[in-house]
Amino acid sequence: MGLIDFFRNLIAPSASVRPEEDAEVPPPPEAAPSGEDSVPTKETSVDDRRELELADGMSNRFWNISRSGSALSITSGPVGSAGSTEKESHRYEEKARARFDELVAEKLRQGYVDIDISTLSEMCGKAPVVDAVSPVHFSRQGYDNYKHAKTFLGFPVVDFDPRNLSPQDQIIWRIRGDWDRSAFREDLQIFLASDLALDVPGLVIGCWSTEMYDDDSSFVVSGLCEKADRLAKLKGLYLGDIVSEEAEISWIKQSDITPLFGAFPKLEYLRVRGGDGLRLAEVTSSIRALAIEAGGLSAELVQAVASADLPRLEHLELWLGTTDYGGTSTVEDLTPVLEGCFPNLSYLGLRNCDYADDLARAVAESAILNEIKVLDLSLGTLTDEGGRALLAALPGSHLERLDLHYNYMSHGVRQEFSALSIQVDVSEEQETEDEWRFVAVGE
Amino acid sequence: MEVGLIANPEGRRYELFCAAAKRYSVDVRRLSWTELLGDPSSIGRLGGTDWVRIESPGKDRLLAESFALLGGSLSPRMAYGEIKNFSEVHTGLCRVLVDIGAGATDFGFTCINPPADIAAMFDKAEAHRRFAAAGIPRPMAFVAPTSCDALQERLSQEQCQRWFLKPLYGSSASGVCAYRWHPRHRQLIAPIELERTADSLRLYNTRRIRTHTNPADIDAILSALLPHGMICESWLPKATLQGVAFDFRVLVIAGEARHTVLRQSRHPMTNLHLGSQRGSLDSFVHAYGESALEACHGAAVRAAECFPASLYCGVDVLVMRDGSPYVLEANAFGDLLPNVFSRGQSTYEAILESTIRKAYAA
Repeated sequence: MGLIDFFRNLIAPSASVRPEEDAEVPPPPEAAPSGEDSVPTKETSVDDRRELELADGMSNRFWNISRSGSALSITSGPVGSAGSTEKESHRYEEKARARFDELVAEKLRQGYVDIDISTLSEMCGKAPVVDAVSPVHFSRQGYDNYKHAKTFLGFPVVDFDPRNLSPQDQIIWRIRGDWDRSAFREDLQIFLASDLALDVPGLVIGCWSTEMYDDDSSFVVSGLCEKADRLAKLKGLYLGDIVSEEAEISWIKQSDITPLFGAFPKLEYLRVRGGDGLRLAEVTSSIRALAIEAGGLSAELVQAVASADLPRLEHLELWLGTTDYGGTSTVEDLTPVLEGCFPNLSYLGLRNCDYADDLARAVAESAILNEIKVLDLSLGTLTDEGGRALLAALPGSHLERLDLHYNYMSHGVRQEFSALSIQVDVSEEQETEDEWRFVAVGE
Repeated sequence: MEVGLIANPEGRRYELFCAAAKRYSVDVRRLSWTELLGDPSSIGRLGGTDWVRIESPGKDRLLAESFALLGGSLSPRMAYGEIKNFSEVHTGLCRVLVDIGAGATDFGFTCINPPADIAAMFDKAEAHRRFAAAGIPRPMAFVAPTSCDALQERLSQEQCQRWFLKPLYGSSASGVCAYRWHPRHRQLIAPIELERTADSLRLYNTRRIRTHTNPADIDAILSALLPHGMICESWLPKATLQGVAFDFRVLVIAGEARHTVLRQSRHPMTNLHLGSQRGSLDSFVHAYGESALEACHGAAVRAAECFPASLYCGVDVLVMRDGSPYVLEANAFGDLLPNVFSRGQSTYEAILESTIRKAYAA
């Protein structure tokens, strides 16, 4: 065919020419089996869209809904998977719109939150979310050290921008610098001096230096403590929301966090990331949830936690780690915890542990299974040995949920866990290669 | 209308282009890379076509070995996925591109993207020079010394401790390393697997991005790659959407930014074949504003203008947290973006239409 004919075809599409964008377009082809186009995208006009996620410590699921005219498309599944899609067609657009709102409201009631909240403008027009989570749901399900926290205390986390000091309800600010140019110190000062500080229930501290391997967190701790009167309502603090690209977990240099407990008597939730240099002296606190994520925790630190006076503690999460990254603790260091030194404990997470079998045996022999509702030994090197010890101890315990995801147990033992009447996660089994077993989070 | 196509007749690129041509009733006269390498005079078969499109030789191992041989490699054999002979393959490819250019003159056809531009886009040092001369925002970059010690020496003079090291003549993230160092730590993140035997060391491409921390492994990788020529670029923090870093691939056609793919990855490399996900442009616009997308498109168009004789080019654009764009590279074969549509057209359809318009205007 000649050039002119070709042009005619372009202007007036014949059967051989693809329909124009605004015509009824068939759905895009299924994802190709591999390679560049694993997620097909098509610029169809979407009238309304909402992307929600549930990360309450029990499960980590996403739920996306979009509306094009009178058609709804809902994709949901575990985070990290492609999920499954359901479609609904309605006769009238109005009906679809109402159904959209109804479904979103239902999900928000279940504890889902909007995920796209990394900047303030993304927050605009989004409905406020739920109340603070209960301490038992404080844990982070996975070991995703590639993503910043999306939520904290059940509120979306938004990066603080010193150019915008207008108060925002229902969010938690994160103060962080970038590695190429960090204004962290200035931003923290501006934040603490502003009226924003007066009302915040929680605060997230991110990457605090361009030289994360050199600068420890002591200036952050002292900076917060000095201005504790400005943070009068602070209930929750996340010290070190730092992803691997900013600094690997084992590179983060922490410091003595003892002063935080004295300066913030109302503190109920504390999450710390990074075990290097982390120290804790004798403390008394009414804190309800304490979580320390690390590639390795020192025996001294674990002992200090186990001997702390924390009568209201409901959630204790320690990432014990490996000797390669400064982990020096042993089961003995945890004995007071297993003997019930925290009377209100409901969730016990002894995660990312390279002596997980010893730990499981000690847990199984202790009375702690009758005290707590949730036991989390995930991310560690648990094998059949530890698994069997737990299986033998579970009948008659008060446990409601057991998280053993990321483990080295055999299919048979995992089956036995799955047959239990309590909630059990034994997913992400690891292949045993050459007898070298790894915890999930090192480096 | 007839388009000559120099391509590898197996693979998606070939199929997708032929499908687009069929849809627009354009005839395709094929010439495979293998035929062309085996018999340089076969280029004459493209005489009389209106336009010639040069498609990527792709991942064909025999072809790569042939290019390496042509480029003067003394050991052109490569195991599947082996990282080897970057500079020799490039030299060989450039020689064939020169032949295609000569064929175009001799047999009177025009290449949609001229061979010289393709060679220039494949040379990251040349592309960087052009971008810098045009004042296009780019990460700070320099051509790396060719030994490990000299590289470390050079890097220790810089403030920055995070770098991307990219083979000057590589593609598809093959051999690309994200490197950060400090007196106490060294880390190299790359889609590279090491295989050591008693007397040899081989590098392989892997879809699973690895973090290397053993200094001996890091030195082994860099010692193997540096002699082929690498560019050292400062590793800039990317903006995030939903907590995940992203960048853009923008296909510029006839001076206009068209197909735009937002690529998100938890790794420093966002190439889609390495498991990155396509993200939503809508959420980018929602978060950073329409003007930020326009700025990215503008940067991509300016980058493409550095190859003025080419009709199209796939530009990778990084976005900083403040929304400002930085151009990373221009890809001669950056138009394989299946299931991405601009004004209802696939990438190949849009390129075909622009080719015809160009012909018609001439």
